Amino acid sequence: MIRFITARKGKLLMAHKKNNKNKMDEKLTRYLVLLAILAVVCVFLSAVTDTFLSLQTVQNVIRQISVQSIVAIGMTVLILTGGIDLSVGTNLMLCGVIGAVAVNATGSAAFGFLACIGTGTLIGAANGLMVGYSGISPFMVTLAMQYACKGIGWTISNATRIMVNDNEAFIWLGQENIRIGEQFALPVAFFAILLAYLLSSVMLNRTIFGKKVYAVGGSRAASEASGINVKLTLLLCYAFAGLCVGIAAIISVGRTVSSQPLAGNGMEFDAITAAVIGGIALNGGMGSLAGTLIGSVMVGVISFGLGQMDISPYVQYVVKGAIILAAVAADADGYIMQSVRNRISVKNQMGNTAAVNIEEKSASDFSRSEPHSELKMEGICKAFSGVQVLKNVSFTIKRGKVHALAGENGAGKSTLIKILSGTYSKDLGTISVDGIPYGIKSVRDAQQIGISVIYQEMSQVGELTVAQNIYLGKEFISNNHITVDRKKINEFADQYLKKLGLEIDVNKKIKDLTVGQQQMVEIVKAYASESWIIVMDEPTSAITDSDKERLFELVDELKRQNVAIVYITHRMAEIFQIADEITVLRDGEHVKTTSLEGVSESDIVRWMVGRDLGNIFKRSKRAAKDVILEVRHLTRKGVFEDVNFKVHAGEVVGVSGLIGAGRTEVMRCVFGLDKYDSGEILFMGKRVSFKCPMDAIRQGVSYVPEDRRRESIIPRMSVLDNMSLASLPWLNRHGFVQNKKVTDTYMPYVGRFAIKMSSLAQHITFLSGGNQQKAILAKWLSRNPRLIILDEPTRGIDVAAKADIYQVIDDLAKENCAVIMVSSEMAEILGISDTIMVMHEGRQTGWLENTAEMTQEKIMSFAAGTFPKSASEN
Amino acid sequence: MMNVLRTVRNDSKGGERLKNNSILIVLILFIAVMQILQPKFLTPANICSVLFSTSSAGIVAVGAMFVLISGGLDFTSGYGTALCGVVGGVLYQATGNASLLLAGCVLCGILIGIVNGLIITKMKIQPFIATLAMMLAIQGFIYLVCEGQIIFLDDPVTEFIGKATVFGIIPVQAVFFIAVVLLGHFILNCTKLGTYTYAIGGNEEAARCAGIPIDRYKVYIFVFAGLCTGIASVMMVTQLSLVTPSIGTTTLMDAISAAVIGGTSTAGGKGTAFGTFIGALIIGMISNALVLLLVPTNAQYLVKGLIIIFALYFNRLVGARE
Repeated sequence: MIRFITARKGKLLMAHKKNNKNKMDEKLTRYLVLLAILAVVCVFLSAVTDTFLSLQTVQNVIRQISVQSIVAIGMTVLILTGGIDLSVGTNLMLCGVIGAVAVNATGSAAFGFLACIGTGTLIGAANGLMVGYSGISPFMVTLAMQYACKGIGWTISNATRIMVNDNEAFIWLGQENIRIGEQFALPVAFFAILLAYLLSSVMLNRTIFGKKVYAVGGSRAASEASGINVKLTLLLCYAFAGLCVGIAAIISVGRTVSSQPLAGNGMEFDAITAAVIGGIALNGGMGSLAGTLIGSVMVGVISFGLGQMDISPYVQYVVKGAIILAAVAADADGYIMQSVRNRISVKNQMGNTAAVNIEEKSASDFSRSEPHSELKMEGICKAFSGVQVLKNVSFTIKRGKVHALAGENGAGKSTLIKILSGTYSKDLGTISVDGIPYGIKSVRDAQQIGISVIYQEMSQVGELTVAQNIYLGKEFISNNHITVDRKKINEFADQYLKKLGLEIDVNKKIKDLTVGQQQMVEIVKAYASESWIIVMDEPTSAITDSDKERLFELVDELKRQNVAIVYITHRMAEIFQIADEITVLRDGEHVKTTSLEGVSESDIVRWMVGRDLGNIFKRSKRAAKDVILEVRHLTRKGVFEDVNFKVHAGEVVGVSGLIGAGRTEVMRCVFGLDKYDSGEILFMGKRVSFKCPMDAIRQGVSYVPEDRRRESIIPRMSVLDNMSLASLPWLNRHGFVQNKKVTDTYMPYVGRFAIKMSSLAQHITFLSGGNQQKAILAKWLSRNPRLIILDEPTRGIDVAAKADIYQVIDDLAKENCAVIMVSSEMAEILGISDTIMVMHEGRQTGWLENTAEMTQEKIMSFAAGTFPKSASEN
Repeated sequence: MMNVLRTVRNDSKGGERLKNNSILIVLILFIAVMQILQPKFLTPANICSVLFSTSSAGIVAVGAMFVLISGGLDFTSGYGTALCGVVGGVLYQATGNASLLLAGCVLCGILIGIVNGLIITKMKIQPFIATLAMMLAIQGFIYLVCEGQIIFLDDPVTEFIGKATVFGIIPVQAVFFIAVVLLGHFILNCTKLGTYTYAIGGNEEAARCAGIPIDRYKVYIFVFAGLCTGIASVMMVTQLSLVTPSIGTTTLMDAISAAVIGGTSTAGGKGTAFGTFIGALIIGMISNALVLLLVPTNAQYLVKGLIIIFALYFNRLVGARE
């Protein structure tokens, strides 16, 4: 067994390295392509001009790009955080002015240097302060700063140039060369650039600060919940960008021996251009400095080369623009490459399988007036970049029936539905209505046939009204052929709402509705489009229990109106409550289609998982020990009020209640993510007040947030980086990440939790939900917490992974960790908890310690606020 | 967190109203302060002069607002006005026909919009980068078209658009500005294009699921922005009575500032024509006020920057988080 584990570990380590290599290869390819383009440009330029390939030229190019390439370093770091700095240009001018004034006043170059760097850093820090702490978008903050810097600089210099006296040091940096051997010499600026890039690369790649930069850029909310001080990190990043500007300003002043009022004009765009050509993703979290350097050199060489040629200088602009587009379009991750790859993989498949070409009717020929009774999907196959996701799947939908579609995550449910809805096109198979095959090639085609899909993530537009959302894409046009007939839309929408017995104002904006109401509107939207097939993808995952009942009534009503419903859910109880038939998929294959009569829950689980899971709730309960956490009279105004509870070592406290009852908010306050107004928190017997999550983490509190995608994972960071994110202070020496220690810490969890992935270097976003959650658990367990708060730990996770997570919870309790589990799933609350707390509208309404008291009815009545008296202990 | 925000927002109806009109409060505050400092500020003549001087940036702002609501960004509108201007100017110089000048300006703007839209939708390049590249290209084209020359306009039509007033006081320029704002309001609220602009910026996936031809509408949105650029260039050149390649250098930043101060979200999905109008007024009034207060030209930039930050921060404090 041990040997097995070591073998597996070895394999994973190898895979880890290999995958790292793959990633490196991809990056390398990009850089090689850029360098190749650069080489071609150089050859071309040396062919058309006589002097291009000379030492003189190289020196000139380096001087020309020196200022801009150093500014681009700072810009790269900012873009990595998802920000931008439009003030670098005028900041550069300002630094130059202040530097020049300082030199002239003191007669010391050192003072000038300091003044440049200090001013730049200060302006940068001011940007960072506003971006981090005020919540205004970086674009606008730095735009305003652009004006401000210009104002200060021009006021001081009177918008004229200031000559620098006693300028030897400046000239040395800006104009001199350093001799290397007899013939060869390189500008001093070259070494400045080199040093700046080397140091910054080390900072980004080797230090925990660098990890934080990527994390903040990848997901601000998740970084915050991992104990990273996002605001401070942003402040430091902007200050760093300002520092780069300050250094660049020194060189800039040195080149002209003066400060110029138009220095740095348009520099922000040059720096952004360099970064973008080098492959930095504008939405943050991806890219590296090497790319920026190549981008800078490329822009510099091309500008210089075109300048040497006898061409209008303005052509340069056009060429520069074209190069940006070309560089972005050629991006390896970009659209063009991907579409080529997809096309190749589809072609390969077509070659492999003897494709039976069936004559498909166009969806536009579909007649809605005929009474269609069933839709059949047969032999559906689909592959993504070579991976077969659906293998020969069949699925039949009949009018007036609720057909449940079940399967674990990754079983192919979503893909099947997306093929039905026209979002994806199938590789093979047929979709026929009453025996006539139709081609569904777009969402419009599916709508034409009468198929509506209600997706898991709300597909609504918050700023539009209820009626506008219901008729989105199907607006009535007035008789004047121009305007949308909003009156008619409102009337019709209102009619449909009434028909289904809903009381919602059609003029309300969607963002002002509750999540449950939004869900109802979504169903009305499908109904109003007169679809006869409505697909619901986990419609109950985010709504309250009372809304759920309402939803089921709606489903019944739709059934009576002879609509076919496809219902996707992870919750077994719901399947038995409303479905007539069930189809189970596993690993992209069709396992079973049957009527629900005589079928038991364990049958379905067995079909889904392929084996018997037994009782997934295994809890070895034991007597309570020391109090770990005590919360007294905790209140956050308007959110929750007077919450009191205790959690003991080895105890699992389940927190139940409807969505919006304030459960998550209480936990966020305990963890230091939000502030509370009054009350106190005692941790290990001592009164504490965590000002930020890191305080809580240091004391031994862990928190797995509710929304995994938004608050837990940093999608484009590797699994390993994600795991280590909350432990950065313990995994570094003098700020440098200890890679070996990181791997050694997290490798054991991979085996222990059976996390399925290709390697630790894989981006976490490519893992299934269950594996992501296990990785997140590893992230928090590695802190050896005394208290762990799990907020909806199994939401959207398949049965097998759920069982694994329950096992982890039980193990934690055995190891004397105190566990708080917030959950909306009744079975889970009842199955796992030692003690149950129930909340209703920001108040604690129930506290159940006695196993006999823990019944679904009781919890429900507490949660609905209908139980007469609060039973909370005080 | 969302729940918290929702609870807080639902708490007070008054709060909601305050949030929606926070920009109006900024405007009133600004006017009040100015009125105390300089009684000449709130006179019809001065207000008209503000409208006169902000008309071009304001018109560009309406276009920029559309692009921002759809979740994009358009860097081409600044240098775009200059390109439109020189294209129209060269046509005028060759023919002496003022209607060709107007047509040239407007069509050139529309063409810029079409190219932007096609690059974004066909090459699948983010608006930020696509329009940044286009901005560089346009800078080149400006000089290629006019070769650095200045063209003087002397025509009754351009004189009318640039200098005339209606009812003896309201500049024709302001009439154009207000007309474009109303057009923007009409499109946003009464047409499919408007609904889809919000839908694409608010939830592109939802728009796709609703079967909206997103690419086509994105092109329309950029074409509208281009149209605004074209009209704005007409305002600029007729105001100056000359065409020079250096017009419109501050327009881009002024326009985006106006739209964002007016409550347009840089993240998309939110914004109104009325808000943008107020935003443009504020931007215009800042420059006007600084001149009235005899603030040195160079220091004006500093004050302008500070006021923009203040306005945004106030919006942020009173209004919702973006």
